[in-house]
Amino acid sequence: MGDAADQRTRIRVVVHKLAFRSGDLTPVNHPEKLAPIPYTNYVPETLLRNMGKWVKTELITPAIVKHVSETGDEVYSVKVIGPPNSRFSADTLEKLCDLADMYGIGVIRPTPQGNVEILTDDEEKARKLEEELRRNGFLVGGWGNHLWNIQPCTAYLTCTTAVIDAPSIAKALGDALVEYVYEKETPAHLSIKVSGCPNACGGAIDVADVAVVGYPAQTPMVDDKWFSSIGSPLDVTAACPVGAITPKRDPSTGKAYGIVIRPELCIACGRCRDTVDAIVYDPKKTGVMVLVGGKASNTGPNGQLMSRIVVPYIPSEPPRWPTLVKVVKRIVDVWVVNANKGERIGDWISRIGWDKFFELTGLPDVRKYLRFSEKPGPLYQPLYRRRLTESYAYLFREYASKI
Amino acid sequence: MASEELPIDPSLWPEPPPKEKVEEYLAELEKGPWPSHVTELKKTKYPVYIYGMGLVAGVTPWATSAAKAPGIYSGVLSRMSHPWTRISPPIFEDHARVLIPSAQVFTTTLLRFLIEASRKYGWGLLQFIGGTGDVVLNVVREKLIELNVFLRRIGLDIGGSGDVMRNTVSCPGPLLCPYAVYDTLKARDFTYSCLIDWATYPQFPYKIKFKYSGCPIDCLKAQARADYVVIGTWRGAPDVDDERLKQWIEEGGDVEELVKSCPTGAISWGGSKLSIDGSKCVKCMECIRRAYPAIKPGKERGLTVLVGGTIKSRNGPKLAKVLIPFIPLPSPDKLEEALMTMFQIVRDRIVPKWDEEGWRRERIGDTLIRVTWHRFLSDFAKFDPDLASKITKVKPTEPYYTYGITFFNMSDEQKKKYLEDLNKAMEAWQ
Ligand code: SF4
Ligand code: SF4
Ligand code: SF4
Ligand code: SF4
Repeated sequence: MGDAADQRTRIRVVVHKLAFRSGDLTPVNHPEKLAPIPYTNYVPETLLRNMGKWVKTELITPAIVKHVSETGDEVYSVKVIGPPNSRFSADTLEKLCDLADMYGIGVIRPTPQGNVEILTDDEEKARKLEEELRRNGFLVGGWGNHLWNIQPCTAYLTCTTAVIDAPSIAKALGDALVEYVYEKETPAHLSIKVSGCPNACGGAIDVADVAVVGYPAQTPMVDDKWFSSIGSPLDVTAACPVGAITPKRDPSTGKAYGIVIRPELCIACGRCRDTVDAIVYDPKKTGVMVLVGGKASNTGPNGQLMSRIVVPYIPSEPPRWPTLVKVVKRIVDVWVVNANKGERIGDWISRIGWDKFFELTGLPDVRKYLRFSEKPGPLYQPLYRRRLTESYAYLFREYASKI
Repeated sequence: MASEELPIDPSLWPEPPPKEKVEEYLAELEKGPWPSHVTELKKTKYPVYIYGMGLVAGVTPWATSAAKAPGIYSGVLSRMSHPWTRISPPIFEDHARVLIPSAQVFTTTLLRFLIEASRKYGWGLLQFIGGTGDVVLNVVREKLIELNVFLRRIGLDIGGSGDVMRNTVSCPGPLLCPYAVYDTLKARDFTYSCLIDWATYPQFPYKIKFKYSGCPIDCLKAQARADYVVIGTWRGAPDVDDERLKQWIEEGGDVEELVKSCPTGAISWGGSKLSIDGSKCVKCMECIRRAYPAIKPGKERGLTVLVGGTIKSRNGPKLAKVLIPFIPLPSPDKLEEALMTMFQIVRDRIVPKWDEEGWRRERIGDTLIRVTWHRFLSDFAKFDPDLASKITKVKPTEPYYTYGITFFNMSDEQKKKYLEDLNKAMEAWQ
């Protein structure tokens, strides 16, 4: 392993910062947060001198991407797919640090999708690193036209508002789709998001290729006993977007002491549960929905697309979620066979149309079971002018001085 | 524990499941080629058995708790084992969100310190990293303050929860990506240096998020998740370098394909010269991705600012809307000035007004729907009224009415019917 002193000089700033942030740092005496140290202080020299000078990105293997700078420098990024919810033990991370020091330039970049990228500056080292990672039991791959990762939220690991568990879904889906990480190509980038409730901490459900979202699928019940000690009736009433909750009031004093939920109005959004723990779901009724076809990139013929619900309900089946896994695998497999190269799921569906999508996948057409309103209502958002034309921009220039 | 002592109504909640069942479920999740979180958690002090109880019961095993941490106003979240698990005394789970370096560049030196922190003050468990872009570190409740001091010493801090400015995230941008139009890392650092008190004290109706994507590819999906989104863009046509294009063609680049790939037909090829009609270009990055560095983002660069994207919120998920289509960025060193233009509008106009008028737990995207886009532009952003009405009147050039995501309550019969049909369909897949 590279010697510690040498490491430390490379990361000048950590040393600098350690010196800088001395003195009394106790939060009570200094509650103001300390701003992150400017990046120029800790980014290693190899990267710093090539900032903004990259000219080429090239796929070496599904686990290695090569970045070429106009200075001639090369940096390789080796991708490791992390465990669901990016839960790393200290031991595992230490192992990764050792490998990053041994074969790399001592830089590890975690990504919000739950991957870890280890940087190195030499192709041979990158390949060795890939090999070594695999030998140590890590799953590598996911660059380019592959499954990038499956990103679940925390759910039952620590979350209090979870309807269903998400990491176990990610694990089950991953086991079924693992070949798309390295061995098999997909037509385009694929990333899958899993969230335990409509809060969607697992990533943007509205712009995901495939999103699995847990939802109550029922009008929640209220635990009156618990509510009376921890709940605030007015807060919960205010939280409901459709006004399905009314406070129960003491007739003599008029003071609110509990709540009633009207099932005929409730849309099962789970927002009351976000406000107070004393809301109960019947686990036999909870389930997941599947959305497909969203993307945030301004790419392709369509630009940004919002995901649509294609499977409205599958009951929860922990720990291996067999029905859900079959459905998602089916959607992905059909896309892989039918899409043109470079077509993300959303672009593919835009080309063939939803009728064809349901025909090809064989899924029951969700529109037969649920009616989606054409008009933007409280829960439907129109997207104005996603793609800007020049005239819009120039309209602003006229007024630039007045903004 | 006798049920009388439980704070909950036990008839509504599950019974603690049998031990064998819990172990069976956990074991199931250690099988298969995909990395297993259960295997990973077993290497730490995380009480994985509680997670297993939740899995079997189909109900989350955690309830809200609160940790005392004098001086830490945001960044610490606390849980305790749910009363239905009947674990007595309850097990507490506290975690701290750690604000990390821009673009998540961790040197191993720094990471080793973080690992040391998690062993010394926590459970030897990190979420590396969460969807919010912070590292989440499990911590033993009594050691919270010590942890915070340690993190500050190594140049980090705890923060980013509650009604504050949350962790600001930037895409790797110029650090690794050729397409970046501006320095996203610098933009993130600058945000903190301007708005550090926003990050410290909860003071708003709800959270505020800034996100910085270097180009219209928007790797962060910023426009779907952040209140204020900055995306690098340019005006007019992408920049074509004829020399390099020639080279690109010699190396096997297919010009016909390139011309065809443009969704608006902005590109034409005269046999020897490529010309791009800037007025048609919608900045989709397609030609740039194919022929970089022969084709680059245009020379007249700038920032687009969008407002009001959210996933979780009152009106459901929504994409952000364009607030300022173009802030010119004549040269990289003018970035701070360009950002200041945005900060002035956000900090001095929009946020104070939102503070006044926003409902509790209402993100700016929901407020702007409630007060209408036009009123938002004139009263919140305080644009010239004339400009505001012109913006609202601009007709979408594409009929871009798309459905948002709705929630619904299916009846039991509806569910049954759907599942029958689904099962029938699934048989045909075998
Ligand atoms: S999506 Fe729901 S279940 Fe998952 S972490 Fe967020 S609030 Fe919890
Ligand atoms: S689930 Fe949503 S709609 Fe139903 S009562 Fe709760 S907040 Fe209201
Ligand atoms: S958003 Fe653009 S600049 Fe940023 S990493 Fe993605 S492609 Fe690169
Ligand atoms: S960026 Fe897209 S729209 Fe603009 S010229 Fe290139 S391919 Fe056409």
